[in-house]
Amino acid sequence: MMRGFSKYLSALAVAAFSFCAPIAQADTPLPAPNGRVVLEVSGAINKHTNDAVAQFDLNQLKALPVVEITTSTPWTDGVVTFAGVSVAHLLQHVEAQGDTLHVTALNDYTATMAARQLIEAGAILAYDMNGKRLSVRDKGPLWVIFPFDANEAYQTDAYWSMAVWQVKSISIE
Amino acid sequence: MTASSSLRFRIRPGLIFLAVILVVSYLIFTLSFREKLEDYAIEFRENLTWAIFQVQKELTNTLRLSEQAAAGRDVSADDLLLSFDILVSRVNLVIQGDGFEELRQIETVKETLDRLEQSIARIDAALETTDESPAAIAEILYRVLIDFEDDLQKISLEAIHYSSERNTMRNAEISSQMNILQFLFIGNLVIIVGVIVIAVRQALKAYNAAFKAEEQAMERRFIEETAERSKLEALGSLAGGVAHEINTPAQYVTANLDFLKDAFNDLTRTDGKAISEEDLAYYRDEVPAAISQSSEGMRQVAVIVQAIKHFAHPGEGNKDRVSIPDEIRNAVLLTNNQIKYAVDVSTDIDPDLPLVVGRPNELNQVLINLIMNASYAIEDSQKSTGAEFEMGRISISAKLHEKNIEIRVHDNGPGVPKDLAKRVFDPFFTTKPVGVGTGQGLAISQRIVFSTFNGKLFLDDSVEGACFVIQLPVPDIEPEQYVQRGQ
Repeated sequence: MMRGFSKYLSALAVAAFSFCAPIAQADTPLPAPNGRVVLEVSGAINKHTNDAVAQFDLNQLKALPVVEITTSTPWTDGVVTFAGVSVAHLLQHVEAQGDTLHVTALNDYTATMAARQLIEAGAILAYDMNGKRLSVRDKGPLWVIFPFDANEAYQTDAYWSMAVWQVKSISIE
Repeated sequence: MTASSSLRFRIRPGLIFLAVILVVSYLIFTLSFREKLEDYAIEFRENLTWAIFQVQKELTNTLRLSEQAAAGRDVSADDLLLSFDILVSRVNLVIQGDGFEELRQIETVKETLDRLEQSIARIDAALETTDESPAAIAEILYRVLIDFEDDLQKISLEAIHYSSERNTMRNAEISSQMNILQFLFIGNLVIIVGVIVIAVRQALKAYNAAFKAEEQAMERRFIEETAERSKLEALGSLAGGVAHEINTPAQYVTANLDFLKDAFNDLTRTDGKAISEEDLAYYRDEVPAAISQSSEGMRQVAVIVQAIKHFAHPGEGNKDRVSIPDEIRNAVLLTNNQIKYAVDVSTDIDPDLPLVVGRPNELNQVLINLIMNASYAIEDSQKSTGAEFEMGRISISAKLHEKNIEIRVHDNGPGVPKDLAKRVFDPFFTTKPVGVGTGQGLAISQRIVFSTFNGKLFLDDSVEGACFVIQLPVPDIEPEQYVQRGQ
């Protein structure tokens, strides 16, 4: 009961995160989104679309290198294939400077997790499932997905609780 | 304090300490278990109500946005649809998600969720056909969803009520199981303590038995050593008499041999003188008589030597079959010369007495001691009273009496005064003058009879004179068998 339930909680973990960002391009802004904004990255970042934040519409996210993860999850039936942008790449893209991510969902749940853990596990922000766009009703528009089947360690509450769905924004600290 | 009781005193606080530790750990464990149970109950209630609260929250959001759109405020169609989608995702979670099965089993919750699902389908169908203006979308959403505001509130309360009831029931069930567990625990504790107590008792018993065995072995050694010493003393005092017993036949055997030598010389003379018919007749009668007498004398010597050998033989500690008639005969033989001028010894021995088991010559020693004591008492009495000399009498009988063999050494002396009767078996008690007796004879004799033959040595004060009785238990097997085996 408790374990099943915790799959739906958007509780998050904390860990250290750091990587090198290309400082030379710091003053070049990211292109502003044309469509409806699906993700807003804020906090310790060097690249912005406007003064303080980096906003992305779905097409912009899709334009970033696509990473696929084929895995089963506790919330889906059978093995499914997710497509999305790797968290590592996204953080690099905005030249993130912090180690901690506060991931906020559409219902304003905010969960905190260690960037390093997501990067090491190769987590993605998925927007497609089995070639179909993740709707809000299907836990979209963005869903933090780990390659759960790849490692037994990922099939634990610690990772399930980081698999936040209906992601709206990420704040980096 | 004995070793065993001090051991018991050391074990008792240990046991109490163990029991206290077990009980305290058990109480701490059950207390924390009950606390955890309570935490789980609270968590369970929160989980159920949390899911409904999420639906309620998104429903309220959607309704507020719809109201704002209807009021002409700046609300986009996308915002309205997003809010609705979030609501749908929450509803789907409760309807399909793992972990909410129990919630779906509550009748009113199920009914409300089913209606909500149908309403969502209706809204989806209506949205397909409507224009995409915020006002139109808001109107559809509001019209259908407003009814659920109260319903969700109701099922939220229902869920709280359900989880409280469920928790109460489950806790009561677990509590009763815990009570059973508690009884089992106490039962086990009692059993464990019982087993330990029994084990300790057994250990103490074994310890005591070993201690007793050691004590008996020491006693046995003491008796053997003392008996050996007193035997040597007896041997010393008997030596004169025994020497005489041997000397008498030795003397006449020597005389006979001299006579035979002369006779031989006479009969085989070579000086030509013929032996007279008279001498020849004399030799014909006397030579066989001399040979026969010498032979008898040597046989007597052999018997006495055999008796001394038997008596003086050092006990090796091993028990063996002992013939009571032989022991009595030996004792009489060895004491004969010592006492023959003072007392007559008569024996009345049942020839079919079974053999008994004991250390050879120990019974002999006891008998010699009793005979010498009796003789001494008779002589001493005559000397001290100045009465006219009269031969004393010692009668020794050995008979089966019920399940015992009774050897009675009865004299016609003055007997043992009543006030001394109880003390005659005490070590170092003696009525003899200083330097004559050690006071150990009867004490040692009594211990030998008890520890070697498992029998009794006592004074029968119901008869005239002194009568010492050696009572030996008949061996378990039939006397006949025993006699056969003995042979």
